[in-house]
Amino acid sequence: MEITMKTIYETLRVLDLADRNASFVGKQLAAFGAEVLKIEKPEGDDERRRGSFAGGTADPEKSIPFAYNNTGKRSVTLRLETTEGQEIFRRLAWTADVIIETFEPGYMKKLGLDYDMLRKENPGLIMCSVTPFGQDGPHAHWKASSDLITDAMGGPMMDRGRVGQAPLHYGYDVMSAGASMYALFAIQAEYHSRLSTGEGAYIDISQQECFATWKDQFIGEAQVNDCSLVRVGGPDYALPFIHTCDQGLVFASVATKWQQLMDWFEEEGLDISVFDDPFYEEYAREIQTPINSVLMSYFDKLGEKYGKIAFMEEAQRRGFPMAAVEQAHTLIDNPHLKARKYFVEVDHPVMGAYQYPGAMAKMSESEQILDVPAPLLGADTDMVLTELGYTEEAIAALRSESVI
Amino acid sequence: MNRRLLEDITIVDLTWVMAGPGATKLFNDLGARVIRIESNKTLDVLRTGCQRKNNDSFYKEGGWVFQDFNHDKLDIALNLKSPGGREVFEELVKIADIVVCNYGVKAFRKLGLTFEDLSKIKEDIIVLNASGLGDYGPYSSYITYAPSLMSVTGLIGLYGYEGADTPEMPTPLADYFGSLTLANYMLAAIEYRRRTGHGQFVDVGQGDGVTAFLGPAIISAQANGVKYGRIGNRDWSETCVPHNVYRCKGDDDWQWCAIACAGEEEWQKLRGVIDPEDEWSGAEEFATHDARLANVEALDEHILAWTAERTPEEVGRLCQAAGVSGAPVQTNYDLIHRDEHLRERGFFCSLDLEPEGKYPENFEVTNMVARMSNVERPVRFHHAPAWGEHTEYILKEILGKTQEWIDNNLIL
Repeated sequence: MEITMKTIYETLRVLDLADRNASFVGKQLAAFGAEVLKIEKPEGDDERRRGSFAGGTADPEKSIPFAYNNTGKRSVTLRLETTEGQEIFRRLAWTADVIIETFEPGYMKKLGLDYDMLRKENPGLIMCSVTPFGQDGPHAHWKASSDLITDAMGGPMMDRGRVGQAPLHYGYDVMSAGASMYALFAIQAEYHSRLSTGEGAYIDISQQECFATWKDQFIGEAQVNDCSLVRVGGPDYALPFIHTCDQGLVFASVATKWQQLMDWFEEEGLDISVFDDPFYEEYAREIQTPINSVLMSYFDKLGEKYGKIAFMEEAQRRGFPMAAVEQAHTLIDNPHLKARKYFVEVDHPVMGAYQYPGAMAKMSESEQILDVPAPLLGADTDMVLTELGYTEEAIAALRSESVI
Repeated sequence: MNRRLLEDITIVDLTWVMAGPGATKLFNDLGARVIRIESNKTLDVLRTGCQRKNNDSFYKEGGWVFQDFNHDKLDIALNLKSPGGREVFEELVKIADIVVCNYGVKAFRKLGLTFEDLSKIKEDIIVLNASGLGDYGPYSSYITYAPSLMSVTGLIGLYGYEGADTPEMPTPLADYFGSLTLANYMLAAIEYRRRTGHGQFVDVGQGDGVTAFLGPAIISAQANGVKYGRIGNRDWSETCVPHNVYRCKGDDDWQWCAIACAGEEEWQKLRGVIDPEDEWSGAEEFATHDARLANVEALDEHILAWTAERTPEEVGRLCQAAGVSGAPVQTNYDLIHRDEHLRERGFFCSLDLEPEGKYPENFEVTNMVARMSNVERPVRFHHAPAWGEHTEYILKEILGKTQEWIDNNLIL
């Protein structure tokens, strides 16, 4: 990997203290070319203890969430709770453009490493905290060991799922990754502004607020139509319908192409006389017509014949907005993503090589760095400390005291 | 203190609905100049549909989602296909830093919006197109909208009730993620241009951004051969157990809570809250993390027995007091009227609306998410523009057109 002039941030230095709640921010900054130092306690960041693990057994070098969310970063171990650790961090902060952290509100201040302290020596510092409920307010110290909690408190969870059944969380850490994108934007915006002013800033992001923003449709509804209780889900949620076929699931929509659908069925040798029933008259007009069991059975037959991807391709060719429901284990074989070279092979020295999702958007000129694996624990500690002026002996002493 | 971090950026905004306007809103809130272009042929659907008060359509003013996404923006009524319209558009490009749109790949080219086209007008222009599935690839001209996008990106396959035979369609997250991807790449392109002097084209296939969030599941599927699917409200990483949503006391379907425990310490704290007499939780089957995972159904039943006798608010309060991750699943009513934390943090912001009467007094939208120490937090937003509300202002004040030019040129 060679950093050329064509990355976005050539000289940006980021200190990344974020756990799973915002590790994605530093990942994206690294993709944009920044130098991202992951500052971890000597036992390793908590995200290293997060499964699943490659091979199935817990190992700090085999956590897959850690491996994915920390591509492109370096690792420096540091015990911030010690005086020496704080001194080293302060010296690093002096050289840094951006600090990202996810500690409980007040923790960095307790260590003497909060923004007000650090900006004294580095007025251009941009420091961003991402926490479940933000830095202040009655719930600032509420515990949220999972984004299940902030999804519940932020409100979008209640909108999901079926009436009569539990509201549904959006899992797989998707929501906290999304919240990270707000932090990324705020950091980039502050950086942009700093170019003219020379001054940095402190950024406070609450995950609850990120999630609440994503449900604004219903917040408005609650005020205007006095309707605060909504749950959308299930096969009665008229517009979308997902149907099973051969290799998996296909989202099916008729979308006012009724005649073309009849033509398709007929070409396939299916009997369409059943659709002469007046019940189907509105299908020619309305998008939001439910797929009933008769139509289901017809899609079933076509699905079995074609298989998931081919079914979608044929349907789209005929103008139907159908889509295959991809799953985590089928995405890497998706023809469209392959043609776009979306997945990138990342070869991790312990875990091995796998296909990782690559760039979130494709830039015609800028280069994004996507294939550098997550760092081994403390791999860059010595190098970074040497840069700061610590001798080999000093480093050894720090190590023996478990400061690094 | 001000909020004009991005005041040196001008954006020509051809986007509509949610993902695009959501991105330009982030810029507008920080002082960028966002000029929306809306023709009479393609009015933003959020103006005319989706949300209506008593079936009354908000044609010019826009429904509340439109208000939320587009408050404080400038809006010009313009048709790119008319000669006058094209001329005005090109003059706007000349003064813009960014042109952003969300057209299908064919329309994007037909309207002459590619980087090749627009860089002839302004050499270092930055162009972004947020199409559904990207600017190239076998599916790039597929018809997509939120449900199909969420299907093909993998979101639907990983969402829904455990063991259910039909999957679920969630609320449209893809649009919000799309707007965040777009906004971040806009700033990245601005920085690149600052360093190199070069504009470029950014292909923001919304699907690419969404699938990026599924990295851990995608890699785990390869590494361990696991076929992840619908897991209800469980923790896919198995870091937390218990981890679920439980019914609470009450007659209706809106009394629910969420509880999660990561590790031994939090579990012991939860035990103290829900089983102070140690009647069941000390059993072998719940003694270790792995045991709890193996016996999660029985565990959940015990927890449900406890939550079913308490309100969601009580569950949240008791759990949090003991240092356990527990919280009510809030309703919209809770968010607006009961969540004192959001109120104190000034999460909602009022909107000055015209005309009066269609909205309740003190109608609120969500405020800026990021709090920045050098940005004054808004307390009131200006309503979203009526269609073409700033046409004259933009033509005369920004582009210097005379009244004579306006009288003699059709831009629609």
